[in-house]
Amino acid sequence: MEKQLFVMPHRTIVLLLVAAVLIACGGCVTTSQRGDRCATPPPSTNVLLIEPDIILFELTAGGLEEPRADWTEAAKANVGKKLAEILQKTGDKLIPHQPPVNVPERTHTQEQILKLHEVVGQTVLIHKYIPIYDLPTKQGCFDWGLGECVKSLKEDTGADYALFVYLRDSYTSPGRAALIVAAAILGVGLQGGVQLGFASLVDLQTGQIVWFNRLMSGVGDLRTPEAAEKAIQELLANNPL
Amino acid sequence: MNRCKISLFLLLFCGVCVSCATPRGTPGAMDDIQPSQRPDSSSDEAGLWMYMDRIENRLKTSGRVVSDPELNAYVRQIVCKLDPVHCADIRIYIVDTPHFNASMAPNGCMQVWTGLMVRAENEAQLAYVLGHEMAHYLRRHTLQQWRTVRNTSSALAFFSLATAAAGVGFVGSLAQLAALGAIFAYSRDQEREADDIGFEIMAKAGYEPVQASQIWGDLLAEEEAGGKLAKSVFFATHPTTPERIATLRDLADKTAKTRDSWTAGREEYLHATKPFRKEWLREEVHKGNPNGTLVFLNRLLKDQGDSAEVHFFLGELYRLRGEKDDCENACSEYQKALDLGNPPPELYRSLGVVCLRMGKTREACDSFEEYLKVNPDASDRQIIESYINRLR
Amino acid sequence: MKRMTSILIVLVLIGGCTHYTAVPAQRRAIGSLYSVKSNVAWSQADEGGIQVWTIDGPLLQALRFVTLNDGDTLFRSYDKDAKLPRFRAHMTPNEVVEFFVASLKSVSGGVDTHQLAKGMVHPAGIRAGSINAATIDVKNLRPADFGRLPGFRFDFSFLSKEGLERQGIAFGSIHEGKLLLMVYSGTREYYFDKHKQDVEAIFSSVEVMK
Repeated sequence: MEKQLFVMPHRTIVLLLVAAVLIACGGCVTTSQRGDRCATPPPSTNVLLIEPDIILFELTAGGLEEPRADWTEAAKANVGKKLAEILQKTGDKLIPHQPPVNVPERTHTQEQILKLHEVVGQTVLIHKYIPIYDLPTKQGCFDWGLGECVKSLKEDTGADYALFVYLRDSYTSPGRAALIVAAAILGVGLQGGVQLGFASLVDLQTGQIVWFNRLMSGVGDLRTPEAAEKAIQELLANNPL
Repeated sequence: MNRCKISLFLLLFCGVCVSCATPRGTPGAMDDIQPSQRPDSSSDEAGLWMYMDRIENRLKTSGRVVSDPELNAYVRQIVCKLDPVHCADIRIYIVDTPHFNASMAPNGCMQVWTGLMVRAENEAQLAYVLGHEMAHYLRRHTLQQWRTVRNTSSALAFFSLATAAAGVGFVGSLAQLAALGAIFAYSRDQEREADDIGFEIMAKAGYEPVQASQIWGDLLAEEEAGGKLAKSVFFATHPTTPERIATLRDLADKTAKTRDSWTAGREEYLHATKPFRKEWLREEVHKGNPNGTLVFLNRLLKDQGDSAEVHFFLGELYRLRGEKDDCENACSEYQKALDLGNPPPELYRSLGVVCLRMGKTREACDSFEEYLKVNPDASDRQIIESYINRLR
Repeated sequence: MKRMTSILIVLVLIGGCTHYTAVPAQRRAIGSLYSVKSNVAWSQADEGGIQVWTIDGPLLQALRFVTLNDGDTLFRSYDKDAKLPRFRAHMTPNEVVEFFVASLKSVSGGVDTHQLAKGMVHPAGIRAGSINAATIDVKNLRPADFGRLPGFRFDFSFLSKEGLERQGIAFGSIHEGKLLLMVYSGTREYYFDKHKQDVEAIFSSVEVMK
């Protein structure tokens, strides 16, 4: 056995592996979490939309996930638009986040917030959604947050909450789709495209995550507005706004 | 699975592969990249650029980019001297890591690692390596590599290795370097092309041609001395043999005849890099590759003459290596540095540590006291004082 | 089935352990050499002989207890060719710092687990994952009492490969040829500070046995 001082895995691999395990476990759709002792946001809240961290891949015949620039841009646009529409229905205003210009310290803090959120998201996915990794110190409670550093986002924008979205999605190329069909005929299983993501709503006054949701399914197509709507609806299920 | 099914499967597989053999580009000759050109967003080249853009963003926030404006301006003027037409599209990042490497990504992101900068003896040597990398960029070799690899099983590793090798503290394990080489190694044709174009660029800018084979030859000697552990990222991606060095020398001879005088730019180079050398040498010695570093430091002594600083770092090398007789070797190097005068102040602390290891407690005590005298603001004053107190 | 197994193996390695148990707020032996007392409860896991304590998750903050004998490495690598630095009993605290930094650097190559999941690389390649070796910085090495033993402590910081800032404290002593070390680290934003006082209390509570 190894002696190991630090175990800090490469970011996307954690999520891809979580996805893989959950698929292998029979696949689940979405389950959301609410933060402890967190008040429900009032109607007509200002919500800062942090630029969604999205990459869309094409799954080629060789099994490779090849990033597609055009699909990714389309997905970012669709997701942003759908999020704004959904939130508008509850009377909230979605403000897209613009990183500060010419203020290096502030830019640096806000970059750290984004990176911290990613690791907190990974932590939640591992320790709240996979029973064998439950933490006794988090039993029956959900009190993760980003700390007071988020105040700089509140000061810059006047928003009360921030919405973070993380998505990775891959779509089979025609070649691979044909292969999957062929393989299925022969009784061999081949992995198709995988969709994985999470979203969280952070209270910019306290830094606490008031709502967290994991998305995991094999359906939904972020490249088109109509199909993106379904995926976003699932992602935002049970959000308190 | 019975034979019928297997052949059906293979037929389908081949059919599928043939039908997608021509999606968005095939390996083969392609046009040079034009200034300000961006690929069409549905092309595979665009996908490659997008990934490289992400890597570049990571590089920017990696905390290891040297931001000194004068050093950056100096390197930029070399790049623009080499190619005034394309240099506006090139973004230069000097990456603080003691490994020898320079690279250009298809999106115009150029990296120069400080392990290369500490080894170049003059401006012409650095210019050659940069010109060589620019040639790979101009001829879109990475896109060619990607197209060659993408329908094979190696395709999977392409992006992950690109990320790993992107200057963000890459310290390759052997397995990783082997994988890097298997996928990213330029082919012999691509290297020949880059050599030819690199020479053209260099000669046009007036740089002395023989410097090209010089820097690669030095690096090869170092790698051979270092053994398996010394395999560099640079050689993993640029397979080099003594034959290739000889070819470079012939090319140099031919090119040299085309002009009366050439510049090596030694004084300018040493002047521009002087403020950084000590820190780069310290990183080098802590790299953990003593045999290779030994060859390099001895070459430095020969090239730049006796130096207290280099003897100090030789001492550090022996102290950290800690093999039989290395305590004596370290002491001997520290002494040479002391004799030359004005050694780095940390020398006394290192000498104290080595004397302690050799059981020479009085000399150790003296050295630690001298360290504190010479270093009144030492950040580790308290701990050194605790050593002195325990020795007395 | 084979893929499922390899995925589970990797997950076990990622977590570093199979499951977490509760550490109540009371005195607790660390091996057979010393004990500490915590004022708050922690979650504990065992990473191949190293105890890891965390409250919010090891990716966010973690306190690790390490005991090394002469010749031990801080990490273990499956790469046969890797030359890992070794602790030597004669080391001064200055040399322990060099050993610590060199150890982190030598295992921070990391390999993307994409390859791993496809069965291309040995699982151990993932473990030291996300440290950007070139950004490791150590400051403030100073003497500190480790219970009744003379000891030392130092501060360190580094960036993850994604650029997330992390910082930590190492606190230890070299006693009878062994290195006794406690290492606390967390994200610079929020999680390091969140339990720093609790960790300082643990440091002050060290009682060396025998």
